[in-house]
Amino acid sequence: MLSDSFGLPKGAPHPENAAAWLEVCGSKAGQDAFNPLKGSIPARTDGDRSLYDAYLQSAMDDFSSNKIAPSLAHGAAASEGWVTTISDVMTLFVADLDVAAAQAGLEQAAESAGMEAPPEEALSGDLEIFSWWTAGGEADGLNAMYGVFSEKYPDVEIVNATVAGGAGSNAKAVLATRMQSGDPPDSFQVHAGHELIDSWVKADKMEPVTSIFENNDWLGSYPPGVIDILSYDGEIWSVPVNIHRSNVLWYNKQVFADNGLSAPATFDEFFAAADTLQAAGVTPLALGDNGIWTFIHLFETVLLGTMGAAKYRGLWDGSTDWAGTEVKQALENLAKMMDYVNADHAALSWDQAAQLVADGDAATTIMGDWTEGYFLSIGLTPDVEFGWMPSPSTDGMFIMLSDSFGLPKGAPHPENAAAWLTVCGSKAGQDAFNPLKGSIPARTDGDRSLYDAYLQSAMDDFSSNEIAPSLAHGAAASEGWVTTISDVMTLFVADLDVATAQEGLVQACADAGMC
Amino acid sequence: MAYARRERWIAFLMILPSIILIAIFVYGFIAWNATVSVSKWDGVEPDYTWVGLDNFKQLFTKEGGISAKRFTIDMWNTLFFTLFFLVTCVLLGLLLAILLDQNIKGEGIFRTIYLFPMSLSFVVTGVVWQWIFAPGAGSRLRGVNALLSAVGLDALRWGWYTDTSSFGTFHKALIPVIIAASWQLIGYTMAMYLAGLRAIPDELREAARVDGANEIGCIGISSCP
Repeated sequence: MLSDSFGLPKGAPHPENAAAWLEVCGSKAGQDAFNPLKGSIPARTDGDRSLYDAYLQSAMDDFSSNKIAPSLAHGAAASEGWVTTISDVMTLFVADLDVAAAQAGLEQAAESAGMEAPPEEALSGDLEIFSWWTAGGEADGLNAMYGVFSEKYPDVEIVNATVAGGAGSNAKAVLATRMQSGDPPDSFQVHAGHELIDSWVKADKMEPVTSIFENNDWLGSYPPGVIDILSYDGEIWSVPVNIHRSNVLWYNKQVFADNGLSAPATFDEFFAAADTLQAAGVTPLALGDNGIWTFIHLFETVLLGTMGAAKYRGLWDGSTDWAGTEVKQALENLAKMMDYVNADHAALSWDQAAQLVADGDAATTIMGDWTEGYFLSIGLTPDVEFGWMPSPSTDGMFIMLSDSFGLPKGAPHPENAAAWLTVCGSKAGQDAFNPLKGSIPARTDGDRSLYDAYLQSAMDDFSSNEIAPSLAHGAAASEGWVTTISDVMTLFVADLDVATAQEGLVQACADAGMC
Repeated sequence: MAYARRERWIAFLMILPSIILIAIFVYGFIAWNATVSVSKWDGVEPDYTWVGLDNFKQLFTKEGGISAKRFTIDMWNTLFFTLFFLVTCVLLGLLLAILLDQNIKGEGIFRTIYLFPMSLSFVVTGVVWQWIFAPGAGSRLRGVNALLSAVGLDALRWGWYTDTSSFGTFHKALIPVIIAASWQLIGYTMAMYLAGLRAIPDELREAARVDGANEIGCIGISSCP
């Protein structure tokens, strides 16, 4: 396409009149007056078809349905200077038809127009990456991704700024101080979704990364549910490197076989199996909630199982009523589940709960897919000693949480940061990171052969299931909202009072400004 | 006179760095804390809009909802913890000091043992006592519960810090916390009392004894200033 248009110069002597003129230019009446006489179609899509001839009508149809590309010859694609240089090249080419010389000329034209992508080796200086990945598979994965980056940009010095401890809470505190004092790292790890958006994007501390997605043509490589979670106000704000699944029920295959049970798919099956197991002297559900987040984690899977993905997503934008019967039912299901957990749940952590399942003291535990990493680390084999299922009544649904990297405003080396984010979002970067971290790539085109049986099944589910954001891990709600819900659940786990908890949840939503 | 004044100046200059540091890092930050507590700042971005006592209203009134409820519970817990922790440390510390003051054999060893916990960091104490009081369940009892079960005192087993019941506003789960904290600091109060007791000349006690006081009376009368 090419298009004639009118603009408004600075210092125009009659700006109000000019604005009125531009309004006419852009209006349906103005365009339908001009175009039938000029022999062109209106730039608007709602022109009056009856005014145009057969050719123009077909052009109008195509214009509203086709992919639009800008015209080079008519000034839509490139600057006038660039077009002039290209004219020179083509003037010679039409005479000698020398392809090599023409291409060299075109390359030079792009370069002198400042549009040539700078050669990759040109990047140098430092790149400070801030994360809380200090040990184990996650640190190995991060280093593998640094390896991919260094291969492409050998002159960039990576500064690995990590803060250990507290599942990221220490790192977040340090990050907050640095951001407030105007000393941001080049890129930092953050849970994709509201944790990023409510804490940093709304505070105007981040640069959008939409252009990185567009330049690399990634929009088709990520499921739309993921792009939704990353987006706010029409822009994408971080590049996800991995996906973890939260709604997984891990079970001890031996215990289930001994009791003649199959893995439960629904709440009814779960409670029926739980009765059998309890009668046999096995703890049906292992829970380790010495940190309240594990109980919130259980709560989110029960919420999803009780109300389904659409209503669950509605909880976070105010379209599902927190005072409604589904939330009540979810709390009742959760309270009922607590009849079947180990008595010392408040003294254990999630991995100690997983250990109960490994030892056969408990039959199941509901936890994210880092549990698999724990089972592997104590020498169990997937699908032999332990099995997995979506948590009760969540078949076909996938609660995701994702670690991502963002681009803070005022980053000292923004070009290096952009190159880093390009590595983070690339297939090579994600396939280097995720097999070591024990998570699946956020892209749907990861190399399956690099992942084990569980992760392959998670990859299948991720590309086919309905995606829902995690509450416990920062994707669904702002940190302030999650904190209030933590308060509610801290009291609920002690007294299991459904009515009080629901009141608290309703108020939490109101306090967060979403209801 | 001139000499004394110079002395005083030097002394003042010597402590000046401490005064400045304390003024900034203790009192300065207390003042800053107070400022923030009456401001609207509740996110990452500082927001110093004056909101008066609204934040405190949120903490103490029904308006604050569930968070206020939790805060009230936390206040009571802190209050009860402080009270019982102090009373335990003071009383048991005094008792240990009196016992050590009896010219017993191996006093040095006992004194060291009592003081030992103080050399641990609070984090270590917390983690170790968390293991000791971890209740376990069913066939896999842990810590104190396993011990009680082994000596046939199953009736005394309970959930320790995982217990959610309470007497009024006193939560039973505080008991193991008080025990752990007291364990760490009893040695300190013992050392204080012991130093005090040692400062009392033997003649005074002799005098008390001559006046017909028994051992306990001796301690009471002569030790109280």
